[in-house]
Amino acid sequence: MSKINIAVKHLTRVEGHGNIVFNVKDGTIEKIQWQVSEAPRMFESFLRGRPYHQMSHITSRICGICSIGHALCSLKATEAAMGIEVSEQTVLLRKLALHGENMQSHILHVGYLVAPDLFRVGSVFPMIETHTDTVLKIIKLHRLANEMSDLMCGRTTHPITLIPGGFTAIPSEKQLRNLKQKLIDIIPICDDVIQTVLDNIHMLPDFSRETEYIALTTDDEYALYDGVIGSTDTGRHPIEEYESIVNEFVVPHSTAKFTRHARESYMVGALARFNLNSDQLTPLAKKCAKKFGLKAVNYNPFMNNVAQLIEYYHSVEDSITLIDKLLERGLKKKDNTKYKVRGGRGIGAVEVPRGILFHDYTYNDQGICTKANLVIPTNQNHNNITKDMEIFAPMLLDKSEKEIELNLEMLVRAYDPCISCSTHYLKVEFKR
Amino acid sequence: MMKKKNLAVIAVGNELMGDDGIGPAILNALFREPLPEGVDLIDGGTGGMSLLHIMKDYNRVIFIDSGDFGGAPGEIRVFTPRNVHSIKKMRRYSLHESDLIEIIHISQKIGEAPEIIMIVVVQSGKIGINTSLSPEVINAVPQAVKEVISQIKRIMVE
Repeated sequence: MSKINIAVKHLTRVEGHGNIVFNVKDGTIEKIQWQVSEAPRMFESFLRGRPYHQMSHITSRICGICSIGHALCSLKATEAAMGIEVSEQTVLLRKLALHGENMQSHILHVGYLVAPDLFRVGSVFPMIETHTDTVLKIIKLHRLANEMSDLMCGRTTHPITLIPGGFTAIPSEKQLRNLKQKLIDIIPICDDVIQTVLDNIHMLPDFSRETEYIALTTDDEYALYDGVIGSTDTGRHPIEEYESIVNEFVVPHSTAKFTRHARESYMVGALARFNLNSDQLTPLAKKCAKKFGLKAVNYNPFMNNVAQLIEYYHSVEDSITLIDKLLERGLKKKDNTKYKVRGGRGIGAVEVPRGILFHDYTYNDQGICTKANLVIPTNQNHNNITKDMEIFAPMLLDKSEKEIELNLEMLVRAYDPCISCSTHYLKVEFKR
Repeated sequence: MMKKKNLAVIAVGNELMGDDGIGPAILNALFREPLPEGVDLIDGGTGGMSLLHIMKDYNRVIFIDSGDFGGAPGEIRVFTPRNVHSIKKMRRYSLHESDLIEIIHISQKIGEAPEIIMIVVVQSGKIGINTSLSPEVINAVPQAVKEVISQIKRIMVE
């Protein structure tokens, strides 16, 4: 093809605004770019001057999908700054909350945003006619994750029960037993959805590019709530060294910062976690990985979608174990850690659905934030998306412009980027 | 099967996007009105597919939303999903851009939809980053509240 001009303005089925530009003239590629056009959000600026107890509530508003992860990361940073050690029960309950969010986010992405690519339709809406049963099952998986987030955090999005030192309210033992049963009941539905994805997996491009993967890691478990920084290239690093891992920098065509570490780019998210920690997945999740033939280290970014499904299984199975532990111990209604407000710096790191998240706060002696730095997973992936695109796009030149566009969109979508929010409203015509 | 609750008024819309926030504005006004027993007022926000999980619990639902049906800003229409088809041009769906009519259709298709669904829509003027509504749209709030209350009274006896 002698001339290709692709300009995808505001790529859809991702959160927020990003553009793809791909120009070819006389068979020569003139430009490939992943542009992030979202307006800056300024959270780091307006956190300054805020009291410590507002931080998790404000930062949870960064995202409507990862609000639990932001709240937990924020609490961990505040607790690190003030030397607050939370109880084992609080940690177990927080891990359950994080699993709820991981399940919620992953099934939204794979079920509603990626599945249409597998069936070659424009959105989830036509799928209700052609794949009614699959959509129904996806909705069930989504519903359970929503209910779980609601139970653990007081509401589905933007948690209200999570506070420094513990919780304002916790579920009852009866509610936890009920949740456990629902988690057990959802497993066959997971099996069916996974089989459907497996049947259509050939629709995902077979593309690999070696890169570095970064995620939390620990000897104790498949790291989500806690751990140290792990890299497939350079091994383990303390959380406190995060700035020398992410190395943020700016580029002219993006309002979001880019990052790099040992190589020109790195990837975070479900595939990064899988590549670093797959040995610690639960048995069902491992079985699922085996079905897909996914082995660490896998360098195909499209497999991030599969890793998300594997993690859904993991979160279901691990949540059952966590509930058993909580019930075995017996729930204590009053279990919050007492603490004194003090000044200092604290860094929190949590694995949220899209990858490793850092919150870094400095407080004065009154517990007022004087400095905040937040490093979001999607920002860490922008550079890797760009580098993938530079290799992937030239491989597509023999395809039609429409196919090239779809493939490039699918590549970006595989990273499940969460750029920001927009609007929606109703547009209808009356039947005459 | 859990017994369904009676009636919910669900507002849809983003208060940070100008006239898209008309749904929540009407809902806020409804909180100040005396309503019959068993009516839940719910802010569905930009809920998208999550609206499925809310509406499944009710026998009757009234959605309040902003919309474009080619009327004058502030004009109100009341209709059922059967009366309309969506012509909203979404190149492809994202979690923040969704189509209420399509979501209701999914709910019906999977057999979860409330028996009665009414939609009260106010024609929007300006949609864009802004926390206020256009004057014509603000002026429509009292009438929209009356419409919703009359729909509540009508469908509660059905």
